[in-house]
Amino acid sequence: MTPLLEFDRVSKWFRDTVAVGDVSFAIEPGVTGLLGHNGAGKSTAIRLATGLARPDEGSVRVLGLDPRRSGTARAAIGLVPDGDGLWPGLTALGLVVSCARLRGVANPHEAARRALTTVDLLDVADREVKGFSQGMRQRVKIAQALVHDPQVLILDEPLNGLDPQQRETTIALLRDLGNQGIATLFSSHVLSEVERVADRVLVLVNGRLVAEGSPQGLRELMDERPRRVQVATTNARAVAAGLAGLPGVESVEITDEGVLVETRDPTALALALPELAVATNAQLRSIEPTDEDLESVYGYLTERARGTRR
Amino acid sequence: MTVTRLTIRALLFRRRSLALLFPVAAVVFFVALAIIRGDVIPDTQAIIVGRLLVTTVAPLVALVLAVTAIGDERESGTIVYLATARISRLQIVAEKTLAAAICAAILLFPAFVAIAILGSHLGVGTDNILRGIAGTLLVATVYSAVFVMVGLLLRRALVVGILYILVWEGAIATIAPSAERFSMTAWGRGITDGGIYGLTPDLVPTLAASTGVVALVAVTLLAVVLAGWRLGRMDLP
Repeated sequence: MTPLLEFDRVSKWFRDTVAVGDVSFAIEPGVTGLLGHNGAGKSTAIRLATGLARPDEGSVRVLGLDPRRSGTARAAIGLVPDGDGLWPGLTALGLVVSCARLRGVANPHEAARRALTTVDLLDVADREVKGFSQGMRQRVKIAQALVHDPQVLILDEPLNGLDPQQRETTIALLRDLGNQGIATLFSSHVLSEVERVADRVLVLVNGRLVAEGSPQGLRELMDERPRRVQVATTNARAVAAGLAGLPGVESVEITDEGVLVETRDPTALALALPELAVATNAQLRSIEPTDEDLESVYGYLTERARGTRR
Repeated sequence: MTVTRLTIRALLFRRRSLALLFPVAAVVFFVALAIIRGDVIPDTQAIIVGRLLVTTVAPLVALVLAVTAIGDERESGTIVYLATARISRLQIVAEKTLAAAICAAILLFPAFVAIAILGSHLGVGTDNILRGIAGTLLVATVYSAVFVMVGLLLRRALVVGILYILVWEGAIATIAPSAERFSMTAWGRGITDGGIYGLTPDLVPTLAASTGVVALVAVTLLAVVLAGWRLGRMDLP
């Protein structure tokens, strides 16, 4: 089956800077997060995916077609760009109707009203976009991207500049769209956002795809990553001394709460701790991993790709 | 025609576009002055229509509109909505050119009324008045096409365009007969001034109206195709 969106060994550079380097992936229905720090190549990847930029090497295909050459491929994509630019003097309805016409929608008014209903803006459809808040403008941008019922929805940093309430609304909307079977690719540099929305994550670091998979799977890929575990105990010194000799333990630090252990073998640590507590007459109050969030995984991947970590 | 509609709306909503009414007002002013002074001779029409409107005012208006038509979309980022639509980039450029030409026609309308009044004072036929309007519109259209293209090639298209109008069209091509063959406004003057009888020799156009029409249409089409090709090759923000 032809993937909805496929990158095959795609590279793009600007003079001697590699913006995207030898990246391959395919997008299927559901929500995919494109994760990376600022300047990692996310926006360039999105421009390549939508045909706005041409790869220097490799190929980008939408439904098996080149989006730069094929109107059919472009018609399958809905793009929510990062910028705030919208045509002046238009109402929300007027703007979405115009975009529907540009994409050859048979009944642009009906389609625009449907798209505005999806983003919960139908009641202000006749108001000028100029007076909208940033969150409302963002929803108008999503509506214009949905108006032609795209198979692939691509959003560049859709949560940027939104207040917490608007962020929650947009996250819920993205989840809904993913559940409806639209292949949704959205970029973000905020890991907690991606973790909340995406079924699958692509991690870009310095233009390279360094990891991909589910947020959970991504952690599993990182088995060799040292884990930090906070052990709250009544006899920190004795426990710390015992932990230092365990296989896989890389460092032990006494903290206000107890002992902070960095280990490459969390299973061995979990098995050894009860015995160690009995042996040192210490009471274990809690054992908690401190870096199980995606942020830590991402930081590790970034350091590894930059060659600053073993 | 959605791109045309959006572009016309964007161009006419700008204050900068209204400022283009000042050079148009100059045409109206000189027509009024000629009529008030009773200085209405064939040369007056050739100078106001051929030398002022066709050579300077219409190119200037079309230049600003054409550069703005494509430049504003790129600057604001709205061009991504066009470039990711089903339509081809050639169509985007063609519609941008059409929109700039339509806006130029709207802004030049007071000048068309003025030259019609001038023509009626001169007693020239409707044909001559229509030739003046048609020639001006063709020049505005070719300038729209050429400077949409230049706007895609150069960052400082407006400055380049103004220098081109003033130095080449306004000076060299009006005093050097051999340069007229390569002047878009000289082609336009062949249309607007070709039917005026009794002109002093310096003002008689050297190019036939038919040559002017063919050259203007050909350059317009060529510029649109080249601009479409250029936009198709470009990476957009």
